[in-house]
Amino acid sequence: MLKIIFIISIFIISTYIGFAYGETFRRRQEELKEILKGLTILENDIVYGATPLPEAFDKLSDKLCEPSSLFIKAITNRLIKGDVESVYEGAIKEFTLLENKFYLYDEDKKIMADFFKSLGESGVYGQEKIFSLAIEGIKMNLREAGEIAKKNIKLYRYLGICLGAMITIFII
Amino acid sequence: MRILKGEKEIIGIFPLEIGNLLKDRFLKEQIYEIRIKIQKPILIYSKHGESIINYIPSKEELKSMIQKISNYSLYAYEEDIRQGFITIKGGHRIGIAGECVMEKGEVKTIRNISSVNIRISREIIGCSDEIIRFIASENRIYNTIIISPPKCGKTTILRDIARNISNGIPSLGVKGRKVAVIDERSEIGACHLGIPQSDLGIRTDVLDNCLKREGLIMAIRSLSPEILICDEIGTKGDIEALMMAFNSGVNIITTIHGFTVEDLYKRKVFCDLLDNQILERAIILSNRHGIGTIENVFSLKGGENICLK
Repeated sequence: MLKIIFIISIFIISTYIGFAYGETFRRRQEELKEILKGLTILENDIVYGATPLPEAFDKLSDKLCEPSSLFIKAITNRLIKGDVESVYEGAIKEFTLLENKFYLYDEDKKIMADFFKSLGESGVYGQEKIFSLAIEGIKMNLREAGEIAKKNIKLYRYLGICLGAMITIFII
Repeated sequence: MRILKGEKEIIGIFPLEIGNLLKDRFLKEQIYEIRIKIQKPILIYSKHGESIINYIPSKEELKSMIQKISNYSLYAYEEDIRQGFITIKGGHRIGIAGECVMEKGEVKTIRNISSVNIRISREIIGCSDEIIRFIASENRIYNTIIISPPKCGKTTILRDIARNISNGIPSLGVKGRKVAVIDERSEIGACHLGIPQSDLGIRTDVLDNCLKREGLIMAIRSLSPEILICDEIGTKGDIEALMMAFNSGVNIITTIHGFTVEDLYKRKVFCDLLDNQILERAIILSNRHGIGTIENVFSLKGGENICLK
């Protein structure tokens, strides 16, 4: 009896790991979609409305889903308090705290880091340029993330099930 | 530590070290101007005169200040930077100097900002009580011009006049009137997100950050004011708009830089206002006995200057 429970548990755990790992690819894709949405809303507020960043971020945090909303809200609070020297500093500090909630790759993080370095530090024309640069980069990564997700989600799910089944057979 | 009202916003823009140095001074002295330059000591102007703080700000510190002054959003202050100043929450005006970028003979922007000059705005409720009896009577408000050198409190007095007229002055039998304030540099109302931070009275509408000429015309068209208030007139466009306001039956209260009532007559741009006998009162301010000293009040009606005070 104990052996059966043990075998079933191993099978479930292995399947779960496969599903969970596959899910990370989907999460990355969703996060990139949220970032793209955020960039578009922010661009609208900054380029067309000249809304100051703390106010624009505050509005943006209500329109995004977690974890992006948490990240933006945290930067908003820092900017309102004025306890950071620049937006980039605020973004880095907050991202470090929330990093484990994100599934982004290094190339996604680099695009966002470059974006935050220049955000708010030039006139409207300059801001327009950095927005197009970031949006283009994120769009490219999103396309790539879509392809990776398409391949890997199923792969890791099946791998989890197969591995579970294989271990089960060996034990039996 | 206790921070005086409105000075919290000022302290917030400084890097930590400079902020700590200035905090004590804010409590001890009535600071009205702070000048900060890269690689130069900090200068402070208060009621005790000029004093020097031996702290040398770095380039990074000034850059961080500019970030905070502009609310981390330089793009939102492009027009202000072009004009050479930014007004922060609380109505404090921060003049900036650096390398001007020119385009077609005009300043496009200022980069490499090397110095800032912070002028602290103070709201003094009741500072116009002494002069309000010359401006307002039971039946009407006189078209008034305040003539004053810089740093003599003309904006502070103008703000309090707006409050008094808007709320009404029961002791003089003056009912509250609809006031429109055209606040080109956000100094009168000290608006934040469009909401005046200073008390301008219950019947006052504020057109914040709006050019005087456009604002005066807009206010007449859309806000049906009885009194129009604006600061520091001087261009032909301003005068034309004021004339239009007068012709629409709206009273005006405004200010100019000057020392005596003769300064009004010397400048050609004011000829129309004087020839048409639009202005009825001229108030001369100085800082002889402290900021906001009322030197004289003249009645200008009929081309004669009758000294009322």
